[in-house]
Amino acid sequence: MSIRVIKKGSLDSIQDLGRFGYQHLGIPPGGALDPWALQLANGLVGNTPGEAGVELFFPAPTLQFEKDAVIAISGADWQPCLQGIPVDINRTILVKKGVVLTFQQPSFGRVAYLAVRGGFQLEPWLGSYSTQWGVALSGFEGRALQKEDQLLFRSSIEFSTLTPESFLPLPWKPALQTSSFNTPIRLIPDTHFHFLDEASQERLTNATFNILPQSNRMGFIVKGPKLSGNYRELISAAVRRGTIQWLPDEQIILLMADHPTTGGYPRIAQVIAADLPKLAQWPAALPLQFEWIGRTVAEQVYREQHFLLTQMQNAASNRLASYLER
Amino acid sequence: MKESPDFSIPVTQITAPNGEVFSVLIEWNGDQSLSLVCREAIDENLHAVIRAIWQVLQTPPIPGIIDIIPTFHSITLVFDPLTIANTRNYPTAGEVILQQVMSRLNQLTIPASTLKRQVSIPVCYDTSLAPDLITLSERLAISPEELVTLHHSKPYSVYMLGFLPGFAYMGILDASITAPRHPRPRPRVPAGSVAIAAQQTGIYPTDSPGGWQLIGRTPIRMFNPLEPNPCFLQPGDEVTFYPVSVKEYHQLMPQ
Repeated sequence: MSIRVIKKGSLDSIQDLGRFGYQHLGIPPGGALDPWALQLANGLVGNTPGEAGVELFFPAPTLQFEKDAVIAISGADWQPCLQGIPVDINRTILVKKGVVLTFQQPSFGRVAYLAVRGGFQLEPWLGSYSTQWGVALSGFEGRALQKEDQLLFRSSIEFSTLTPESFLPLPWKPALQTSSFNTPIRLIPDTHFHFLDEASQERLTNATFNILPQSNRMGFIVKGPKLSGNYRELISAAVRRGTIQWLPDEQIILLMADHPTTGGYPRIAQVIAADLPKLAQWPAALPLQFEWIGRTVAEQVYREQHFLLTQMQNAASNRLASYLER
Repeated sequence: MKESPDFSIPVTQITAPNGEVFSVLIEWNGDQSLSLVCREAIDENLHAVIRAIWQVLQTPPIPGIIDIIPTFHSITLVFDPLTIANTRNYPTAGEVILQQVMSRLNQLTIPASTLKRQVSIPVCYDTSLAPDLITLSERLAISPEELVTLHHSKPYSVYMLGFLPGFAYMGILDASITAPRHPRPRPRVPAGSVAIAAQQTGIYPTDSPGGWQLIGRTPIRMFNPLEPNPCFLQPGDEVTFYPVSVKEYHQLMPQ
Protein backbone atom coordinates (compact mmCIF):
# COMPACT_ATOMS: atom_id res chain seq x y z
CA MET A 1 0.00 0.00 0.00
CA SER A 2 1.12 3.55 -0.32
CA ILE A 3 -1.24 6.44 0.48
CA ARG A 4 -4.39 5.77 2.43
CA VAL A 5 -7.26 8.25 2.64
CA ILE A 6 -8.06 8.71 6.36
CA LYS A 7 -10.59 11.45 5.72
CA LYS A 8 -11.73 12.51 2.27
CA GLY A 9 -11.52 16.10 1.09
CA SER A 10 -14.11 18.02 -0.89
CA LEU A 11 -12.83 16.83 -4.28
CA ASP A 12 -9.58 14.86 -4.37
CA SER A 13 -8.80 13.43 -7.78
CA ILE A 14 -6.00 12.11 -9.95
CA GLN A 15 -4.99 14.58 -12.67
CA ASP A 16 -2.22 14.94 -15.20
CA LEU A 17 -1.93 17.45 -18.05
CA GLY A 18 -5.00 16.09 -19.84
CA ARG A 19 -6.09 13.89 -22.70
CA PHE A 20 -5.55 15.48 -26.09
CA GLY A 21 -6.39 14.19 -29.54
CA TYR A 22 -9.95 13.03 -28.87
CA GLN A 23 -11.98 16.21 -28.83
CA HIS A 24 -13.45 15.38 -32.25
CA LEU A 25 -15.17 12.45 -30.48
CA GLY A 26 -16.59 14.71 -27.78
CA ILE A 27 -13.98 13.54 -25.26
CA PRO A 28 -12.76 16.58 -23.30
CA PRO A 29 -9.08 16.96 -22.38
CA GLY A 30 -9.71 17.55 -18.66
CA GLY A 31 -6.50 17.58 -16.61
CA ALA A 32 -5.13 19.62 -13.72
CA LEU A 33 -6.99 22.87 -13.06
CA ASP A 34 -3.60 24.51 -12.38
CA PRO A 35 -1.21 22.69 -14.74
CA TRP A 36 1.69 24.89 -13.68
CA ALA A 37 1.43 23.88 -10.01
CA LEU A 38 1.18 20.19 -10.91
CA GLN A 39 4.31 20.46 -13.06
CA LEU A 40 6.12 22.28 -10.28
CA ALA A 41 5.26 19.59 -7.72
CA ASN A 42 6.41 16.91 -10.16
CA GLY A 43 9.66 18.76 -10.79
CA LEU A 44 10.37 18.93 -7.05
CA VAL A 45 10.19 15.15 -6.72
CA GLY A 46 12.09 14.48 -9.94
CA ASN A 47 9.12 13.27 -11.98
CA THR A 48 8.46 14.12 -15.60
CA PRO A 49 6.34 17.30 -15.62
CA GLY A 50 3.18 15.59 -16.83
CA GLU A 51 3.13 12.77 -14.26
CA ALA A 52 -0.23 12.27 -12.55
CA GLY A 53 -0.62 13.81 -9.10
CA VAL A 54 -3.42 14.21 -6.59
CA GLU A 55 -5.47 17.38 -7.08
CA LEU A 56 -6.97 18.77 -3.86
CA PHE A 57 -9.61 21.34 -2.99
CA PHE A 58 -10.38 22.78 0.44
CA PRO A 59 -11.62 21.27 2.77
CA ALA A 60 -8.65 19.05 2.02
CA PRO A 61 -8.25 15.38 2.94
CA THR A 62 -6.22 13.67 5.65
CA LEU A 63 -3.80 11.24 4.05
CA GLN A 64 -1.47 8.66 5.55
CA PHE A 65 1.70 7.38 3.92
CA GLU A 66 1.93 3.62 4.25
CA LYS A 67 5.34 3.50 2.60
CA ASP A 68 8.36 5.78 2.52
CA ALA A 69 8.03 8.46 -0.15
CA VAL A 70 9.49 11.62 -1.64
CA ILE A 71 6.69 14.18 -1.87
CA ALA A 72 5.99 17.80 -2.74
CA ILE A 73 2.89 19.95 -2.41
CA SER A 74 2.34 22.90 -4.74
CA GLY A 75 -0.36 25.32 -5.73
CA ALA A 76 -2.67 26.50 -2.97
CA ASP A 77 -1.12 27.00 0.49
CA TRP A 78 -3.43 25.64 3.18
CA GLN A 79 -0.61 25.16 5.67
CA PRO A 80 0.15 21.49 5.13
CA CYS A 81 1.25 19.60 8.25
CA LEU A 82 3.08 16.31 8.61
CA GLN A 83 2.40 14.65 11.97
CA GLY A 84 0.84 17.95 12.98
CA ILE A 85 4.02 19.91 12.25
CA PRO A 86 3.72 22.68 9.63
CA VAL A 87 5.76 22.21 6.44
CA ASP A 88 6.30 24.44 3.42
CA ILE A 89 4.66 24.07 0.07
CA ASN A 90 7.01 23.90 -2.93
CA ARG A 91 9.50 21.87 -0.95
CA THR A 92 10.91 18.39 -1.54
CA ILE A 93 10.17 16.31 1.56
CA LEU A 94 11.26 12.78 2.51
CA VAL A 95 8.47 11.03 4.38
CA LYS A 96 8.66 7.84 6.44
CA LYS A 97 5.98 5.21 6.48
CA GLY A 98 3.12 6.05 8.87
CA VAL A 99 3.30 9.83 8.55
CA VAL A 100 -0.06 11.64 8.33
CA LEU A 101 -0.62 14.67 6.09
CA THR A 102 -3.24 17.24 7.04
CA PHE A 103 -4.05 20.77 5.93
CA GLN A 104 -4.83 23.48 8.46
CA GLN A 105 -6.56 26.41 6.82
CA PRO A 106 -7.02 28.03 3.45
CA SER A 107 -4.81 31.08 3.25
CA PHE A 108 -3.95 31.20 -0.42
CA GLY A 109 -5.30 29.61 -3.55
CA ARG A 110 -8.07 27.37 -4.79
CA VAL A 111 -6.36 24.12 -5.75
CA ALA A 112 -3.30 22.19 -4.51
CA TYR A 113 -1.30 19.24 -5.85
CA LEU A 114 0.47 16.39 -4.14
CA ALA A 115 3.17 14.72 -6.21
CA VAL A 116 5.01 11.54 -5.22
CA ARG A 117 8.35 10.53 -6.72
CA GLY A 118 7.75 7.74 -9.24
CA GLY A 119 4.02 8.46 -9.54
CA PHE A 120 1.06 6.23 -8.88
CA GLN A 121 0.23 2.77 -10.14
CA LEU A 122 -2.87 3.48 -12.23
CA GLU A 123 -4.29 2.56 -15.61
CA PRO A 124 -4.23 5.32 -18.23
CA TRP A 125 -7.16 5.77 -20.61
CA LEU A 126 -6.45 7.20 -24.07
CA GLY A 127 -2.98 8.21 -22.98
CA SER A 128 -3.90 10.09 -19.81
CA TYR A 129 -4.47 9.41 -16.11
CA SER A 130 -6.80 12.36 -15.63
CA THR A 131 -10.13 11.55 -14.02
CA GLN A 132 -12.91 11.65 -16.62
CA TRP A 133 -15.94 12.45 -14.49
CA GLY A 134 -18.56 12.46 -17.26
CA VAL A 135 -18.10 8.78 -18.02
CA ALA A 136 -16.53 7.81 -14.66
CA LEU A 137 -13.23 6.64 -16.12
CA SER A 138 -9.50 6.85 -15.52
CA GLY A 139 -7.80 8.49 -12.55
CA PHE A 140 -8.76 6.51 -9.47
CA GLU A 141 -11.76 4.42 -10.61
CA GLY A 142 -13.05 7.48 -12.48
CA ARG A 143 -14.07 9.27 -9.30
CA ALA A 144 -12.99 11.44 -6.38
CA LEU A 145 -11.04 9.74 -3.60
CA GLN A 146 -13.06 8.35 -0.68
CA LYS A 147 -12.20 7.37 2.85
CA GLU A 148 -10.09 4.18 2.95
CA ASP A 149 -9.05 4.39 -0.72
CA GLN A 150 -5.48 3.28 -1.26
CA LEU A 151 -3.27 4.84 -3.90
CA LEU A 152 -0.37 2.56 -4.82
CA PHE A 153 3.06 3.94 -5.66
CA ARG A 154 4.63 2.85 -8.91
CA SER A 155 8.08 2.49 -7.37
CA SER A 156 9.35 2.05 -3.84
CA ILE A 157 12.08 3.75 -1.89
CA GLU A 158 13.32 3.37 1.69
CA PHE A 159 14.98 5.87 3.99
CA SER A 160 16.84 3.73 6.53
CA THR A 161 18.43 6.72 8.27
CA LEU A 162 15.10 8.33 9.21
CA THR A 163 13.35 7.31 12.41
CA PRO A 164 9.87 5.78 12.10
CA GLU A 165 7.02 8.22 11.40
CA SER A 166 9.41 11.11 10.81
CA PHE A 167 9.97 13.33 7.81
CA LEU A 168 12.73 15.53 6.39
CA PRO A 169 12.24 18.65 4.26
CA LEU A 170 15.31 18.88 2.02
CA PRO A 171 17.40 22.03 2.46
CA TRP A 172 16.55 23.85 -0.77
CA LYS A 173 13.63 25.74 -2.23
CA PRO A 174 13.02 26.75 -5.81
CA ALA A 175 13.33 30.47 -6.51
CA LEU A 176 9.77 31.17 -7.53
CA GLN A 177 7.88 34.21 -8.54
CA THR A 178 4.48 33.67 -7.01
CA SER A 179 1.41 34.67 -8.97
CA SER A 180 0.48 38.27 -8.46
CA PHE A 181 -3.22 38.94 -8.25
CA ASN A 182 -2.63 42.67 -8.65
CA THR A 183 -2.30 42.32 -12.38
CA PRO A 184 -5.27 41.57 -14.64
CA ILE A 185 -5.98 38.30 -16.43
CA ARG A 186 -4.96 38.79 -20.04
CA LEU A 187 -7.37 38.18 -22.91
CA ILE A 188 -7.41 37.91 -26.68
CA PRO A 189 -10.72 38.89 -28.30
CA ASP A 190 -12.54 35.96 -29.91
CA THR A 191 -14.93 35.49 -32.80
CA HIS A 192 -18.07 37.03 -31.29
CA PHE A 193 -16.49 39.92 -29.43
CA HIS A 194 -18.29 42.32 -31.77
CA PHE A 195 -21.66 40.93 -30.60
CA LEU A 196 -21.13 43.18 -27.58
CA ASP A 197 -22.10 46.81 -27.98
CA GLU A 198 -19.29 49.32 -27.64
CA ALA A 199 -20.04 50.19 -24.03
CA SER A 200 -19.98 46.49 -23.07
CA GLN A 201 -16.76 45.92 -24.99
CA GLU A 202 -15.22 48.64 -22.83
CA ARG A 203 -16.81 47.24 -19.68
CA LEU A 204 -15.07 43.91 -20.15
CA THR A 205 -11.71 45.53 -19.38
CA ASN A 206 -12.77 48.57 -17.33
CA ALA A 207 -15.03 46.88 -14.82
CA THR A 208 -14.29 44.21 -12.21
CA PHE A 209 -15.85 40.79 -11.99
CA ASN A 210 -16.38 38.36 -9.12
CA ILE A 211 -15.95 34.61 -9.31
CA LEU A 212 -19.18 33.08 -7.98
CA PRO A 213 -19.17 30.19 -5.48
CA GLN A 214 -20.89 27.81 -7.92
CA SER A 215 -17.71 27.90 -10.03
CA ASN A 216 -16.01 24.54 -10.43
CA ARG A 217 -13.57 22.55 -12.53
CA MET A 218 -15.88 22.91 -15.51
CA GLY A 219 -16.07 26.68 -15.49
CA PHE A 220 -15.81 29.87 -13.46
CA ILE A 221 -19.05 31.80 -13.49
CA VAL A 222 -18.29 35.44 -12.92
CA LYS A 223 -20.58 38.28 -12.07
CA GLY A 224 -19.90 41.80 -13.21
CA PRO A 225 -21.73 44.60 -14.95
CA LYS A 226 -24.37 43.50 -17.43
CA LEU A 227 -23.10 42.97 -20.94
CA SER A 228 -25.45 44.01 -23.70
CA GLY A 229 -25.45 43.99 -27.46
CA ASN A 230 -26.56 41.66 -30.20
CA TYR A 231 -26.96 38.50 -28.17
CA ARG A 232 -27.81 35.33 -30.04
CA GLU A 233 -27.01 31.66 -29.67
CA LEU A 234 -25.06 29.89 -32.34
CA ILE A 235 -24.72 26.59 -34.06
CA SER A 236 -22.37 24.70 -31.76
CA ALA A 237 -18.64 24.86 -32.39
CA ALA A 238 -15.48 23.98 -30.48
CA VAL A 239 -14.68 25.67 -27.17
CA ARG A 240 -11.49 25.51 -25.11
CA ARG A 241 -10.11 26.00 -21.65
CA GLY A 242 -10.06 29.75 -21.16
CA THR A 243 -12.88 30.48 -23.60
CA ILE A 244 -15.12 33.26 -22.27
CA GLN A 245 -18.72 32.64 -23.24
CA TRP A 246 -21.46 35.25 -23.02
CA LEU A 247 -24.49 33.70 -21.35
CA PRO A 248 -28.17 34.54 -21.94
CA ASP A 249 -28.46 36.13 -18.47
CA GLU A 250 -25.93 38.81 -19.52
CA GLN A 251 -23.14 37.28 -17.43
CA ILE A 252 -20.08 35.37 -18.57
CA ILE A 253 -18.48 32.00 -17.92
CA LEU A 254 -14.77 31.22 -18.19
CA LEU A 255 -14.44 27.60 -19.28
CA MET A 256 -11.94 25.62 -17.24
CA ALA A 257 -10.42 22.11 -17.16
CA ASP A 258 -13.59 20.03 -17.47
CA HIS A 259 -15.23 22.09 -20.20
CA PRO A 260 -17.26 20.21 -22.80
CA THR A 261 -15.68 20.12 -26.27
CA THR A 262 -18.35 22.22 -27.99
CA GLY A 263 -20.82 24.95 -27.14
CA GLY A 264 -23.28 27.35 -28.68
CA TYR A 265 -22.94 30.53 -26.59
CA PRO A 266 -21.12 33.50 -28.12
CA ARG A 267 -17.35 33.28 -27.57
CA ILE A 268 -16.28 36.81 -26.79
CA ALA A 269 -12.69 36.31 -25.64
CA GLN A 270 -10.03 33.79 -24.72
CA VAL A 271 -7.81 33.84 -21.63
CA ILE A 272 -4.18 33.44 -22.73
CA ALA A 273 -2.64 30.07 -21.89
CA ALA A 274 0.00 31.61 -19.60
CA ASP A 275 -2.68 33.10 -17.33
CA LEU A 276 -4.81 29.95 -16.92
CA PRO A 277 -2.85 28.75 -13.84
CA LYS A 278 -3.19 32.18 -12.20
CA LEU A 279 -6.90 32.23 -13.00
CA ALA A 280 -7.27 28.76 -11.47
CA GLN A 281 -5.83 30.04 -8.17
CA TRP A 282 -7.59 33.44 -8.20
CA PRO A 283 -8.91 34.13 -4.68
CA ALA A 284 -12.72 34.05 -4.50
CA ALA A 285 -12.76 37.24 -2.43
CA LEU A 286 -10.70 39.26 -4.90
CA PRO A 287 -12.33 41.02 -7.87
CA LEU A 288 -11.13 39.83 -11.25
CA GLN A 289 -9.90 42.28 -13.87
CA PHE A 290 -9.16 41.70 -17.53
CA GLU A 291 -6.88 43.38 -20.05
CA TRP A 292 -6.16 42.83 -23.72
CA ILE A 293 -2.91 41.42 -24.99
CA GLY A 294 -1.69 40.47 -28.45
CA ARG A 295 -1.16 36.88 -29.59
CA THR A 296 2.55 37.37 -30.13
CA VAL A 297 3.21 38.64 -26.62
CA ALA A 298 0.89 36.01 -25.17
CA GLU A 299 3.01 33.29 -26.72
CA GLN A 300 6.27 34.89 -25.55
CA VAL A 301 4.94 35.01 -21.99
CA TYR A 302 3.92 31.35 -22.23
CA ARG A 303 7.33 30.31 -23.54
CA GLU A 304 9.14 32.27 -20.82
CA GLN A 305 6.92 30.78 -18.14
CA HIS A 306 7.73 27.33 -19.42
CA PHE A 307 11.45 28.06 -19.71
CA LEU A 308 11.57 29.05 -16.02
CA LEU A 309 9.60 25.99 -15.04
CA THR A 310 11.95 23.71 -16.95
CA GLN A 311 15.01 25.33 -15.36
CA MET A 312 13.55 24.89 -11.91
CA GLN A 313 12.58 21.28 -12.65
CA ASN A 314 16.05 20.44 -13.89
CA ALA A 315 17.72 22.04 -10.87
CA ALA A 316 15.39 20.31 -8.42
CA SER A 317 15.71 16.93 -10.14
CA ASN A 318 19.50 17.09 -10.19
CA ARG A 319 19.80 18.10 -6.54
CA LEU A 320 17.37 15.42 -5.49
CA ALA A 321 19.08 12.74 -7.56
CA SER A 322 22.50 13.52 -6.08
CA TYR A 323 21.01 13.72 -2.58
CA LEU A 324 19.39 10.29 -2.93
CA GLU A 325 22.61 8.78 -4.30
CA ARG A 326 24.60 9.74 -1.20
CA MET B 1 -5.32 48.12 -26.58
CA LYS B 2 -6.38 44.94 -28.19
CA GLU B 3 -4.57 43.69 -31.25
CA SER B 4 -7.57 43.47 -33.52
CA PRO B 5 -9.05 43.13 -36.12
CA ASP B 6 -7.46 39.76 -35.94
CA PHE B 7 -10.51 37.58 -36.38
CA SER B 8 -12.51 36.50 -39.38
CA ILE B 9 -9.93 36.87 -42.13
CA PRO B 10 -11.03 35.36 -45.45
CA VAL B 11 -8.31 33.05 -46.74
CA THR B 12 -9.68 30.91 -49.50
CA GLN B 13 -12.72 29.66 -51.34
CA ILE B 14 -13.67 26.02 -51.76
CA THR B 15 -16.18 24.57 -54.18
CA ALA B 16 -18.53 21.90 -52.79
CA PRO B 17 -19.65 18.83 -54.80
CA ASN B 18 -22.85 20.66 -55.85
CA GLY B 19 -20.84 23.55 -57.31
CA GLU B 20 -21.59 25.92 -54.44
CA VAL B 21 -18.61 28.05 -53.44
CA PHE B 22 -17.83 28.44 -49.74
CA SER B 23 -15.59 31.16 -48.34
CA VAL B 24 -13.26 29.94 -45.63
CA LEU B 25 -12.25 32.38 -42.88
CA ILE B 26 -9.52 32.14 -40.29
CA GLU B 27 -10.49 32.95 -36.74
CA TRP B 28 -7.91 33.11 -33.97
CA ASN B 29 -9.09 31.61 -30.69
CA GLY B 30 -6.50 32.81 -28.21
CA ASP B 31 -2.79 32.03 -28.49
CA GLN B 32 -2.99 28.25 -28.91
CA SER B 33 -5.90 27.67 -31.23
CA LEU B 34 -7.30 28.78 -34.57
CA SER B 35 -10.38 27.87 -36.57
CA LEU B 36 -11.27 27.58 -40.23
CA VAL B 37 -14.86 28.73 -40.51
CA CYS B 38 -17.50 28.74 -43.25
CA ARG B 39 -20.87 30.47 -43.04
CA GLU B 40 -22.94 29.45 -40.04
CA ALA B 41 -25.38 26.80 -41.24
CA ILE B 42 -26.34 23.16 -40.96
CA ASP B 43 -25.91 22.09 -44.55
CA GLU B 44 -24.81 18.90 -46.26
CA ASN B 45 -22.69 20.63 -48.93
CA LEU B 46 -21.02 22.87 -46.40
CA HIS B 47 -20.22 19.82 -44.32
CA ALA B 48 -18.69 18.09 -47.37
CA VAL B 49 -16.24 21.02 -47.46
CA ILE B 50 -15.58 20.67 -43.71
CA ARG B 51 -14.95 16.92 -44.09
CA ALA B 52 -12.57 17.48 -46.97
CA ILE B 53 -10.61 20.08 -44.99
CA TRP B 54 -10.56 17.77 -41.96
CA GLN B 55 -9.14 14.95 -44.08
CA VAL B 56 -6.43 17.02 -45.72
CA LEU B 57 -5.33 18.37 -42.32
CA GLN B 58 -5.18 14.95 -40.68
CA THR B 59 -2.76 13.09 -42.90
CA PRO B 60 0.09 13.39 -42.63
CA PRO B 61 -0.18 14.95 -39.17
CA ILE B 62 1.01 18.55 -38.87
CA PRO B 63 3.61 18.64 -36.06
CA GLY B 64 2.46 20.60 -33.04
CA ILE B 65 -1.28 20.18 -33.60
CA ILE B 66 -2.77 18.28 -30.65
CA ASP B 67 -6.48 18.35 -31.53
CA ILE B 68 -8.55 18.87 -34.68
CA ILE B 69 -12.23 19.40 -33.99
CA PRO B 70 -14.62 19.46 -36.95
CA THR B 71 -18.12 20.83 -36.29
CA PHE B 72 -21.12 21.79 -38.46
CA HIS B 73 -19.39 24.70 -40.16
CA SER B 74 -15.91 24.99 -38.67
CA ILE B 75 -12.71 23.15 -37.87
CA THR B 76 -10.79 24.15 -34.77
CA LEU B 77 -7.10 23.35 -34.40
CA VAL B 78 -5.40 23.27 -31.01
CA PHE B 79 -1.62 23.44 -30.98
CA ASP B 80 1.18 23.21 -28.45
CA PRO B 81 3.61 26.08 -29.10
CA LEU B 82 6.34 24.40 -27.06
CA THR B 83 6.73 21.78 -29.79
CA ILE B 84 6.80 24.35 -32.59
CA ALA B 85 9.84 26.41 -33.53
CA ASN B 86 9.19 30.00 -34.59
CA THR B 87 11.08 31.63 -37.41
CA ARG B 88 11.72 35.19 -38.45
CA ASN B 89 8.93 34.99 -41.03
CA TYR B 90 6.50 33.22 -38.73
CA PRO B 91 6.96 34.82 -35.31
CA THR B 92 4.40 32.70 -33.44
CA ALA B 93 3.45 29.03 -33.38
CA GLY B 94 0.05 30.11 -34.71
CA GLU B 95 1.64 31.59 -37.85
CA VAL B 96 3.76 28.45 -38.34
CA ILE B 97 0.62 26.31 -38.14
CA LEU B 98 -1.39 28.65 -40.35
CA GLN B 99 1.25 28.57 -43.05
CA GLN B 100 1.11 24.76 -43.11
CA VAL B 101 -2.68 24.74 -43.03
CA MET B 102 -2.75 27.10 -46.01
CA SER B 103 -0.44 24.89 -48.03
CA ARG B 104 -2.72 21.93 -47.26
CA LEU B 105 -5.81 23.91 -48.29
CA ASN B 106 -4.15 24.72 -51.59
CA GLN B 107 -3.76 21.00 -52.29
CA LEU B 108 -7.40 20.37 -51.44
CA THR B 109 -9.64 18.83 -54.05
CA ILE B 110 -13.19 17.79 -53.27
CA PRO B 111 -14.30 14.61 -55.04
CA ALA B 112 -17.67 14.90 -56.81
CA SER B 113 -19.19 12.42 -54.38
CA THR B 114 -17.51 12.09 -51.04
CA LEU B 115 -17.15 8.57 -49.76
CA LYS B 116 -18.64 8.28 -46.30
CA ARG B 117 -18.47 5.41 -43.85
CA GLN B 118 -21.93 3.79 -43.83
CA VAL B 119 -23.33 2.82 -40.44
CA SER B 120 -26.66 1.06 -39.76
CA ILE B 121 -28.19 1.46 -36.32
CA PRO B 122 -31.18 -0.56 -35.05
CA VAL B 123 -33.74 1.48 -33.13
CA CYS B 124 -36.69 0.21 -31.11
CA TYR B 125 -39.43 2.85 -31.31
CA ASP B 126 -41.76 1.03 -28.91
CA THR B 127 -43.41 3.51 -26.53
CA SER B 128 -41.96 1.62 -23.55
CA LEU B 129 -38.52 2.85 -24.72
CA ALA B 130 -39.70 6.16 -26.22
CA PRO B 131 -41.15 8.34 -23.46
CA ASP B 132 -41.75 11.39 -25.69
CA LEU B 133 -43.09 9.65 -28.81
CA ILE B 134 -46.81 10.03 -28.08
CA THR B 135 -46.78 13.60 -26.75
CA LEU B 136 -44.45 14.76 -29.49
CA SER B 137 -46.53 13.24 -32.29
CA GLU B 138 -49.64 14.89 -30.83
CA ARG B 139 -47.83 18.18 -30.79
CA LEU B 140 -46.67 17.75 -34.39
CA ALA B 141 -50.21 16.63 -35.38
CA ILE B 142 -49.02 13.40 -36.97
CA SER B 143 -49.38 9.79 -35.87
CA PRO B 144 -46.56 8.16 -33.89
CA GLU B 145 -46.14 5.71 -36.79
CA GLU B 146 -45.63 8.57 -39.25
CA LEU B 147 -43.12 10.22 -36.95
CA VAL B 148 -41.18 6.96 -36.65
CA THR B 149 -41.25 6.34 -40.40
CA LEU B 150 -40.09 9.87 -41.14
CA HIS B 151 -37.25 9.40 -38.67
CA HIS B 152 -35.82 6.21 -40.20
CA SER B 153 -36.64 6.76 -43.86
CA LYS B 154 -33.59 8.84 -44.75
CA PRO B 155 -29.86 8.64 -44.02
CA TYR B 156 -28.24 11.23 -41.77
CA SER B 157 -24.79 12.75 -41.66
CA VAL B 158 -22.81 12.86 -38.44
CA TYR B 159 -21.92 16.56 -38.35
CA MET B 160 -20.15 16.72 -35.04
CA LEU B 161 -19.53 14.92 -31.76
CA GLY B 162 -19.84 16.93 -28.58
CA PHE B 163 -21.75 17.47 -25.33
CA LEU B 164 -20.70 14.02 -24.08
CA PRO B 165 -18.02 11.55 -25.22
CA GLY B 166 -19.54 9.84 -28.25
CA PHE B 167 -22.64 12.05 -28.60
CA ALA B 168 -23.16 12.48 -32.36
CA TYR B 169 -25.16 15.39 -33.77
CA MET B 170 -26.89 14.05 -36.89
CA GLY B 171 -29.15 15.68 -39.45
CA ILE B 172 -30.99 16.96 -41.22
CA LEU B 173 -34.44 15.87 -39.99
CA ASP B 174 -37.51 16.07 -42.19
CA ALA B 175 -39.04 19.51 -41.53
CA SER B 176 -42.30 17.98 -40.30
CA ILE B 177 -40.64 16.30 -37.30
CA THR B 178 -38.43 19.06 -35.96
CA ALA B 179 -39.06 19.62 -32.27
CA PRO B 180 -37.92 21.97 -29.53
CA ARG B 181 -35.87 20.78 -26.58
CA HIS B 182 -37.63 20.26 -23.25
CA PRO B 183 -37.55 23.49 -21.25
CA ARG B 184 -36.28 21.48 -18.29
CA PRO B 185 -33.77 18.71 -19.08
CA ARG B 186 -34.50 15.27 -17.66
CA PRO B 187 -32.06 14.49 -14.83
CA ARG B 188 -31.32 11.07 -16.31
CA VAL B 189 -31.69 9.90 -19.89
CA PRO B 190 -30.73 6.22 -20.34
CA ALA B 191 -27.78 5.32 -22.58
CA GLY B 192 -28.90 4.42 -26.11
CA SER B 193 -31.86 6.83 -26.12
CA VAL B 194 -32.54 8.06 -29.65
CA ALA B 195 -33.61 11.68 -29.53
CA ILE B 196 -34.48 14.66 -31.67
CA ALA B 197 -34.12 18.40 -31.16
CA ALA B 198 -34.50 21.18 -33.73
CA GLN B 199 -33.29 19.82 -37.09
CA GLN B 200 -31.11 17.21 -35.45
CA THR B 201 -31.17 13.69 -34.14
CA GLY B 202 -28.77 12.11 -31.69
CA ILE B 203 -28.17 9.12 -29.43
CA TYR B 204 -27.24 9.48 -25.77
CA PRO B 205 -24.01 7.44 -25.43
CA THR B 206 -24.15 7.15 -21.63
CA ASP B 207 -26.73 7.78 -18.92
CA SER B 208 -26.81 11.53 -18.49
CA PRO B 209 -29.06 14.53 -18.03
CA GLY B 210 -30.62 15.62 -21.31
CA GLY B 211 -33.26 17.87 -22.83
CA TRP B 212 -33.91 16.28 -26.22
CA GLN B 213 -37.19 14.51 -27.18
CA LEU B 214 -36.79 10.74 -26.69
CA ILE B 215 -38.41 8.75 -29.50
CA GLY B 216 -36.65 5.37 -29.31
CA ARG B 217 -33.69 3.42 -28.08
CA THR B 218 -30.83 1.51 -29.68
CA PRO B 219 -29.20 -1.60 -28.21
CA ILE B 220 -25.86 -0.56 -29.75
CA ARG B 221 -23.24 0.66 -27.29
CA MET B 222 -22.42 4.12 -28.59
CA PHE B 223 -19.58 4.54 -26.12
CA ASN B 224 -17.31 1.74 -24.95
CA PRO B 225 -14.16 2.86 -23.16
CA LEU B 226 -12.54 -0.56 -23.54
CA GLU B 227 -12.48 -0.30 -27.34
CA PRO B 228 -9.38 1.30 -28.90
CA ASN B 229 -11.83 3.66 -30.61
CA PRO B 230 -14.33 4.15 -27.79
CA CYS B 231 -16.97 5.97 -29.85
CA PHE B 232 -19.23 4.05 -32.24
CA LEU B 233 -19.69 7.06 -34.51
CA GLN B 234 -17.29 9.67 -35.82
CA PRO B 235 -17.72 12.93 -37.70
CA GLY B 236 -18.53 12.35 -41.37
CA ASP B 237 -20.27 8.99 -40.96
CA GLU B 238 -23.54 8.37 -42.77
CA VAL B 239 -26.08 6.77 -40.47
CA THR B 240 -29.21 4.83 -41.38
CA PHE B 241 -31.67 3.84 -38.67
CA TYR B 242 -33.78 0.71 -39.01
CA PRO B 243 -36.70 -0.20 -36.74
CA VAL B 244 -36.58 -3.30 -34.53
CA SER B 245 -39.14 -4.84 -32.17
CA VAL B 246 -38.80 -4.90 -28.39
CA LYS B 247 -37.82 -8.56 -28.64
CA GLU B 248 -35.13 -7.86 -31.24
CA TYR B 249 -33.93 -4.92 -29.16
CA HIS B 250 -33.32 -7.24 -26.22
CA GLN B 251 -31.71 -9.90 -28.43
CA LEU B 252 -29.32 -7.34 -29.90
CA MET B 253 -28.41 -5.95 -26.50
CA PRO B 254 -24.77 -6.86 -25.71
CA GLN B 255 -24.56 -9.17 -22.71
